Order: sequence, then structure tokens, then C-alpha cells
Amino acid sequence: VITLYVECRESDTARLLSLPVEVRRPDGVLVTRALAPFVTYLPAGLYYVLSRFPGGEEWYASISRADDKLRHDVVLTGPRPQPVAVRPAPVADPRKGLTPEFDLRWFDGDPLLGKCRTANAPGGGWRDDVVEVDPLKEEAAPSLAQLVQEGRPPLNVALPVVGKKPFTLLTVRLPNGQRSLEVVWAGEDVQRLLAYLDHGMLAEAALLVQAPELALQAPGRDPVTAALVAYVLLRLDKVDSFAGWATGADASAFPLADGSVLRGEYLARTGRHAEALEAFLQLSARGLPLFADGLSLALDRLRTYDRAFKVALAPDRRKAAGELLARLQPFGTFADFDSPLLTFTGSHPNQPDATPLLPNWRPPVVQLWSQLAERFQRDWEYVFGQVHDYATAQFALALGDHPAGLVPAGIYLTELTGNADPVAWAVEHDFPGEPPLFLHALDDVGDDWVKTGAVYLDKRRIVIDPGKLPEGGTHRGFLVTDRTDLVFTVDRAEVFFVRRPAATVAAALPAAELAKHGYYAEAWQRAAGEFTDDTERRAFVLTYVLIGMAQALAAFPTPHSDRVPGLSRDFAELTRERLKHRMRFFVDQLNREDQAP
Amino acid sequence: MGKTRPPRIHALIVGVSYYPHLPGGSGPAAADALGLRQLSSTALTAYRVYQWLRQADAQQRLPGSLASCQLLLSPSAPELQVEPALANPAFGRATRAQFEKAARSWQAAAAEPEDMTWFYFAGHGVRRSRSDMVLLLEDFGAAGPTLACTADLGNLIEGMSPSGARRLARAQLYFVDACRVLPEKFKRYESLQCPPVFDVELEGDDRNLAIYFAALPGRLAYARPGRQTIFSEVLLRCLNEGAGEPGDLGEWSVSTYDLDEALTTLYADFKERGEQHSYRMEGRAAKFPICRLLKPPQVELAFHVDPEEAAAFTRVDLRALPGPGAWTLPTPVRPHPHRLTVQGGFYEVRAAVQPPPRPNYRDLPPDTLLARPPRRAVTVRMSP
Repeated sequence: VITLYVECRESDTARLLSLPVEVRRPDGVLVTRALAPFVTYLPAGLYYVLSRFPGGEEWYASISRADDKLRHDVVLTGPRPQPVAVRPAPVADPRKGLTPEFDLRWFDGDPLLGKCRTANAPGGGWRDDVVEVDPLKEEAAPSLAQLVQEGRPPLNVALPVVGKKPFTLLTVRLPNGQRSLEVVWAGEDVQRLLAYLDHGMLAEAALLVQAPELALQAPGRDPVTAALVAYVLLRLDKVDSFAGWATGADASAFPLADGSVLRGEYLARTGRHAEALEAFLQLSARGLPLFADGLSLALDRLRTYDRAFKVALAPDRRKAAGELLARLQPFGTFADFDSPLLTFTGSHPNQPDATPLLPNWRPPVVQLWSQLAERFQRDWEYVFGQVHDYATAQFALALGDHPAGLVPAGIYLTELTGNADPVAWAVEHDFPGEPPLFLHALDDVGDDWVKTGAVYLDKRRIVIDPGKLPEGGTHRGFLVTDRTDLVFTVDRAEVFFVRRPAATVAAALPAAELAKHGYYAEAWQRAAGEFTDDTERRAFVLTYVLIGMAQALAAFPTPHSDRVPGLSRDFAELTRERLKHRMRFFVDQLNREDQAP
Repeated sequence: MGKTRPPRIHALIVGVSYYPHLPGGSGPAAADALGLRQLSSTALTAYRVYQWLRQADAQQRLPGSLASCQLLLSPSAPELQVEPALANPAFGRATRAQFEKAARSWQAAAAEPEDMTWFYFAGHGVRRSRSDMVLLLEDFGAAGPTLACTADLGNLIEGMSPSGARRLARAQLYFVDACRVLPEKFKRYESLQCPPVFDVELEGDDRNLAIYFAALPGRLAYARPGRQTIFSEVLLRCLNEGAGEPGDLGEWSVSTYDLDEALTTLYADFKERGEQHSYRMEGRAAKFPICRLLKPPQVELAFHVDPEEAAAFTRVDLRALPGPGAWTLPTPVRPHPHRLTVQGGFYEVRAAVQPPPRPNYRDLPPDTLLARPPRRAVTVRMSP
């Protein structure tokens, strides 16, 4: 009997690597397969020792019976093995030269909970179509990236921002000319594990998950890596490997919803179905899992519990299973289960679907009005029928294409990014299932606005920089903040608010007005009770007065509207002028307050 | 001491090409055909799989004896012309009623934990989640609920789960040779229920379960009209000579893992050629044997000299270890990469720079490689 010690080292650096190794007889028969470094005991003879890598590379060594040593130390060595994916290796698709019908948007919050919202781009944004994200350095990294391209449904990809390891997001060009998003994980072991799985090298994957670098319960373990390893263990039917983790406090405290799935799946496989269901039901509050495997397992188990009849499940829990299943199913319907991370199509992450973007789509402005005429017509009647749906009707009044519209065109922005689109906004503001609300068209001046950066949003600040406005012409804008929406024209005194007013507009209004007069202006959002001084508080109160006026003003038809029976055009015009006059007064006062020492 | 019964294999094979209620069928038209059409090779495919299984059993290539093998077929007219045996009345029709009866019989037969089951379905399929699918049977589209004449793969798999009261084979293979797309019209069926084939009794589940799908979720499965599905062609190639590794007795055998690796490799070839075929293994598979090979498999080695310019003056020799067999690649190595088919096993590779000497290149020390099916790339690195 000889003692065989095997280790693997990278030839360039002599670095010790944890790699799956096979020991075979000359006729090819497998003697042992283990994760190096390891020690094994063999009858004396000739053996080949090899390590295989995805893509066909192999490291070899042989030990011979001619050598009568009792101990053989074998060092397998070679150039650093590169993880090779079955799928085409992700190659950054340089943004340069791309048509404008391609863009990325960012979201945070959980889609299953309906709380997904537009967010800022992570890190320094795109650089040659690559975003490198280090979750530990990000103040508030988005949890979802959305790829939008003409003629295709927007693709939503969950991002591993809960993890402790950096990752890279690439746009990749597919053979069909479309683009996709690819997350490239940091960590050689994780990449190698994924590559083994991609190549169907399950025996190697089964060994590699035992590597100390991937151990599920290692102190300080990165939760994303831990979840990935746990899913691999499930796939390889090695549930015992994480029994302690799944049944202990680790799974409950796991920062990803995947913890509930993994715990539930473990319990289900061991026959503890009532407990398993409870674990899966936690998704109702925790949201979607990060991994596609998690969604698939949850769907399969919930479907089982929904229809299994010989399982001791309380009726209310079974009902809860059915309800959660109904919420999860749309994500499963539109999911791409070929990706490790949860990936699904949908105009907005909160609403998975497969609706492709129209061929004439161009970010960030969407032509919408024709689809909404009916809705606005209905709301118009609400207003003048004394039904309190001011907000929507005011949209109608503000829209340029409408006969009564005040603003013929506008720029659409949201509170967190100037690159979001109305579809997202509409979903987030409780207009699900309906076409986006506005705008009709972006006039040339407005377009220049965006291009010149005259209006932009810096995190939660609306910044208007008149110095960058194109000279001449009429500058019109349409801003949407997270709590209110603001329509204004810079060359006129009117400042119109639509939708329900809130404290956040308090600063936006004077800023817009200042900008109108050529001052640099910026505004930021404050909730009630967060004022820094009395000046700000007074500005807030005055703004509320203005808001009321703006609402009243907006509720009146415009001079060229003769569609409202029983309303004198002269009266309407007079009222509008009075309101505008009073608004000017308040705006001036606001400006003075704002500039007070 | 109780006697240990040798493992037995129980198979249920279903192939549906002819759908009477879809366009072109002889029955009343389905209220909603969902855009589906008749198929032309899926029943024939199921028959080929059935034939392979019977033959493998006769050759004692399976891990146990084939104790039961039910075949349900709904062939199309062109298939019957190609293979009249499809009309054998001993084979049931792949209707919902016959499927249910056959599945229950299959379940009852596979009543020992050491047994192994095979399931093969070729026909129309609809994806719901990753591993859950609705299998459309011959009478799909008949009067009644839309999914009345279908089978839920998830229910089938759950129903084959052992429970305290029910002993069942613990090694289970499923092959699903069907599309996994979700056409627009199917989306509303997500919430529709298929009538269960089995009552589901859930307990602990320690099965070894391997599910091989002929398509990735959301993708189509393809076939050669009037012949076989692409998946079955590749699968049978793997089970005959295109997969495996040497077993304990020196003979080559194919395990669940080997099959996955070989299928992945061969489907990657499709991808490289720009073809749309895709494949995916699901389930929770430990490694267990599927069959053994009658002889060592043939393996295609693709020799690539790195850098490519060195191919012009490199001599590559290959020698079998142990045993006879030696090859010398032409110098220059053309075509490049140079392909050579050899028997599976260990080989020694030598590479030498042909005169005159080249300052930037050197002869390589002998290297070893294991030729494993279905193919492997061999990189001969000549740079210093």
C-alpha cells in the first residue's frame, strides 16, 4: 500500500488551489475522486492523477509501480485554469455606436411586494458598457437592472447587491443581434463552480462545493455565494450538507429571501411539509429570491401544497399557499430560467409581462396620448361632475395634445433619474395595467434641455441650471417627484402642480421660478417637520397656498377650450388671470424668503 | 435473512404525433387549438426509444432487467408508412385515459426501492415553471376543460415519490422530449389545473431523480420530420457510444452525470453551428448508472497547436496507454485543428519541433490525456 498525497498549484504563482482530482488506473478505471489537497492510500501500481477543467484543459501526473517509494507526493500544476462557460463568454458590448433604442434602467425594492422603484445607477455608471459594483462601497445600490431595447420586452435582472463581493454587469450581444445582461461574479471558485455546472461536469461540481472557499457556514460568508452553493447542493441531492444551516437560525436570518426557499426545500425533502410551507410562505413578506432556482423551487413546492390533498396542512395555510402561488406565478411565467440570477421580462419589474417595446420607442420619451384619450375624457367628466378626481383631470389639462391643454410638450423626469420612463412611473404610482399617462411629445427645445443638462436630478435633488438652457424659445418642463408632479413653463408665470400636493414640492416650486428668472436654482425634498429654519417653514406654507391656486387654475378650462357647457369663457379667462396674478405674488414672496439671510 | 432481489427496471414510454382535435386531425376541432399543429416524428421517436430499451435489456446493458415496459403511441400517417410496427395493437393509444391507466400500472410495478424507472414522453408540451410541464396527450382539445386531456409532469413525479405506505423505485429517470415554450395563448393556462394522474402523498423524498429536458425553458424542441427528434438522436448516441467512463470492471458505463456532460457537450456543438437546439438536466440527481457500453466508445480528439503558426512545423505523436495503437499527425498539422477518432482511454502525446530548430519553440515532454466521449479538445502548447 502506498500513500498518495495530491495537491494542485498554479504554475505561475505556485498558489495552492482547491480542485477536483481523479486518480485512475491505466485502463481508465476510477480509483478515487477527491478535492485536492488530499491523502489517499492505494495498492502499489501505476496510476494517473488528473484534474479536468471546463473547456477541455486537464492537468496530469502519473505515479509508477517502478517507483518503490511508500509515499508519493503529486503536485498537479499548470497555467491558471480559466473558467469557461458553455454560453458565449460575456464580452462587453461597447455602448459607442449603439443606436439610442437601447438603454439601461435601475430599480430597487422588491417586485413581489410591489415596492420596486426607479433608482440611481450604481457606482460610476457605465464605462464601455460595463458596470462594476462593489456592494460594500455602494451607499444604495439598485437591486435590479433593466435592459430596454426596441422590439423586445424589457429584461429585468436581479443584482447580487446583498452580497459582500463585487460583481460586474455587462451587456452582451447575442447571436440574434439582441442584447442581454450578464452578471459576472467575483471569485474564481464561484466562476469555476458555475462553469462546471454549465458543462455538465457534475462530479467535479459536487467536489468543488466542498472547498473551504465555498463552505456554506464559513464565518463571514458572503450570503450570495452561500445561496448559490446551497442551490448546487440541492441540485446534487446533497441536502444533508446543509441540514444544520437550513434548520438553524442561519436560514431565518439570511439576508436574502432565498434563505426561506432553501430552508423550505430542505424541510420538504425530509418530509416536514407543514414547516416547509411556513418557510415558503415567508416569501410573502420577504419578496422574490435572488436566484432563478429559488423561484422555480418555490413555484413547484407551492403548486404541490396547493393541490396535495393528503398532507396535513391547515386550510388557511393551504389557502395562503395558493395566494402566494398566484403572486409568484407571473414571475415564473416570464422568467428566463437559463440564468442563475432571477431574470424576467416586464415593462416594469412589478409587472412581469412579455410586451415588446414598440418599434418607435425611444428613451426617455414615449408617445402616449392617443392611447389615453378615453381615460382623460372620463376624468374630465369627473371634475366637472363634482367628482373629486382632480389629479387625473389636471393631467389632462396639462397635456399639450388635449384641446384644453396648457403645456404642448414637456420633458419627463422622475425623482431619482432623468433616464426613467413613464411606464415605470405609471406602475409605481398605482396605474397598473394601464398605458402610461403622458407625455405626448418632446419638442426640440425640451430635447435640448436634456442634452445640455439644464435640468437634471442629482439623487433626490431636482437641479435646474438656466445657464445651460438653450437661448431663446420657450422652455417647458414636466417634472415628477416621488410624491408629487410638477408641470411648469419657464417663460411664463404659471406654475402648475398636478396630482396631490405634498411637502416635497415646497422647494421645487421656487426653484423652478428662480430658474425662470435666470438664476441658478436647485430644490430638494423635505418631509413635513424636517425644516431647518423658519424661512423654510414659511416657504413650505406659502407653497401650499400656491399649490391650492395652481390646482384651482388647472381646474379651469383654458381660453381655447369651449367644451365645457355652462362656463363662460370670459369668466374662466378672468379667473385664470387673477389666479396667475396672485401666484406671481406668492412666488415673488417665496423667492424673497428663500434669499433671506 | 431476506433475499435481495436484483434491481428491476420499469419503463413508461409515450409518443404523440397525431392529435385528432388539432388542425389536420379527424376529430372535432378543439375550441382553441392554441396554434398547435400535428407532429411528424414524436411517436416514431418513442418507438425508437422503446426499441433501444428492449435491445439494451437483451444485451444485458442495463443495470437490471427490464421488468415492465409500457408503450403508448399515437402515430401520424407518415410515421406509420415509415414504421408499420407503430400500429401494433399491443401498444396503447396515448390518450388521457390510457395514460392514466398506464401510469398507475407503472407506479404499482415499480414497488421496490432498489428498482429503477424510466419515463420518456415525446409530443407537445407546455412549460409552467422550470421543472413543471404540461404534457399534451392525444385527445387534447376534446370537449371539456381545456387541460382535461393532459398530464402534469410535476404531479407524475410527485406521484412516483415513495411514502410511508408506498414503496417505490428510488432511482428515477425522466426524459421529456417536448417544447417548453409559453406561447401567448398559453399564458392564461398558468392558473389552470391539469387533472391529477396520481393522488399526491407527500413525505420525505430521498429519490435519485434525474430529469432530462429536450429544451431549455422557453425554447422549442426540434425533430427531423418523419424520422426522430433531435433529442432522441443525441440521447441514443450517448447511450450507445457517446458518453461514459470506465467502470470498476474496466468496461465503460454511462451514469446520470456522464449523460448530462455528454448531452451538454453535443448540444454545445449545435450552438456553435448556430442551431437553436437546447438541452437541460433538472432534478436532484446523485450519480447512478443508466447503462453500460458494449465496447469502449469512440472519442473524437481535436488537436490544436498553440500558437497556430507552430502547426506548420510541429510533429504530434499519439500513443495508446497501455496497448497497441499509435498515430502521427501530419506535419504541418492540417487541417487545424486536426481531428482524430480514437477509442476511449489513456494516451500519451508527444510534440516535437521539426527541423530546422526554431528559437522560440521547443519539444514538449510527453503528456497524458484521457480520451473521454463524446469528444475533447487537446491543446499542444509549443511556445516556451
